[in-house]
Amino acid sequence: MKPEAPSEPGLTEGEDANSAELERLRQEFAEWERKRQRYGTIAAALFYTFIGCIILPLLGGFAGILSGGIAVFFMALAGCCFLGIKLLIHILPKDPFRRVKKYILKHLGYRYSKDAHRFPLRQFERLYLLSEHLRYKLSDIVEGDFAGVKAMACKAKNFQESRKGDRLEVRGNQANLLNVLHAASRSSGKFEGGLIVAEFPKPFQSRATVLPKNLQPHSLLSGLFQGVGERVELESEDFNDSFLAYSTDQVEARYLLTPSMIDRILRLRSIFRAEVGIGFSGGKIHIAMNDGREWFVDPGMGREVTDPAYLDDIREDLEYVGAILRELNLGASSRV
Amino acid sequence: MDPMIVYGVPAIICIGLYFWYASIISRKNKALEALSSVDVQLQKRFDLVPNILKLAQRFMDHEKELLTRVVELRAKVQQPYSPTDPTELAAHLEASQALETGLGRLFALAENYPDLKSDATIIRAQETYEEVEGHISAARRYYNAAVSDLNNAVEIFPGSVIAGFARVKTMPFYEIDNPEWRKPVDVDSVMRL
Repeated sequence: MKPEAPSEPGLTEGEDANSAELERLRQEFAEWERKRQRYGTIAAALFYTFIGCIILPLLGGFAGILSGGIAVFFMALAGCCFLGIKLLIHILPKDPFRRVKKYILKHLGYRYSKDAHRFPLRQFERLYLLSEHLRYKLSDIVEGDFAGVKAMACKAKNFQESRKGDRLEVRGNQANLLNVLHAASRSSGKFEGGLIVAEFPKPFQSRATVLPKNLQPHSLLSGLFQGVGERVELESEDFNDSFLAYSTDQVEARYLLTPSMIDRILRLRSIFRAEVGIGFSGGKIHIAMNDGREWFVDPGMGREVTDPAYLDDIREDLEYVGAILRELNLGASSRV
Repeated sequence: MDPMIVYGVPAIICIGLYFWYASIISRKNKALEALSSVDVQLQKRFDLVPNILKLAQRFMDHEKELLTRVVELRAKVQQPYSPTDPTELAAHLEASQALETGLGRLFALAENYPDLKSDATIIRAQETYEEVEGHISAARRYYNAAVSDLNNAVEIFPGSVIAGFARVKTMPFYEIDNPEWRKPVDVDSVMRL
């Protein structure tokens, strides 16, 4: 179930604030569009000059009309045009959608980055929330305050094939064997959804992972996980039927996975109808939501950059992430 | 009679009994490990008590009786015990529980002393105490899960026979038995705090 989106073009402050914000966006984009058109015109002129400078000396040379000096001049001019085009391509924004999202999210108080280099994907792999043997495309990192919690969220999608150079074979090592089983079990399913990293209100040292049961290797071998520790059997039958928990510290696992937290995780899965994986590491909570939803969707070609409906889409996505964190009650006031 | 049956059946029974015995011993060790993690957490609380008492004494002159009781309970928790003796273990866990109740009462009464309540050190001490209590609660859950496993293995036949030979006994649960918590909550007094 999607959390309720704002019914009117989505601002909490009311219509006036909405119009003012849209107007501000419109002005900024109008400026950006003007710049883009200007650069586009210059780039087109340079391109045609470049083509002309290439063709003319060639034709002139064959016809014997142009002298060598003039031909060299044309070639030099072509070189300058080429460099000019390259410079303009560098200056021109490559991805207008990225600009749209960046502007909108900036106005809503969030930091946006298209590239996912800064996102701690490796942590998700170490916590077995994502398989090490599959490629994941991460994009659209949004950072900021979601429902009172400092968090970073991004869109994630996996490819079915394994990474180049990965050798899915057993080398007499339990971890390798389990990685193979894990990868094999994972590769049958697909991941499309989002990843969230958020501050956890309680301090902790160890690592703990909560994984959906259907994504696990055979239960006999599941206790042999290296790195995520041993199996943690919790009091809730419903939880044990749906999830498997592992931790490097049995006591701290129970400190993190309190009975109320267990209920919240179960509720999260049913409300959002998603495959939920949760990991605790380095004082942060890592959430992998395989919900089949495209997070932070692009505006699309047919839409105006300042389309209020797109602003609503972005707001709905932010509200969606906020609802996940709210459901887990990660607000600073909660230490339970 | 077929020698395979003569030697094979007793051999299979012996192997089965050995695995049963091994599982009981490993459950006992797991319960003892869980008990030691409870003790580690209780020690944290134990170390915290003198600081809390020192702070409380400055402001809570009228609660001398309670402060003395907490000191006594702390001394009782400190007494050595044998983890393999269920009676001694139960007494140790009961004393720890009583200390928890006493400290809980102390913090509840601290609400009546505005100077104490607003003191930065006591606020920090209370936060640390809550964190330690969270860890104790987690350790208790781990211990009770391990004890439940052990007690099932020890009490259910034929585990009871093997446990008798191995001299493995059931262990007591670390239960929350606080009569204060069973009382109905007075919402008005809570809202006033």
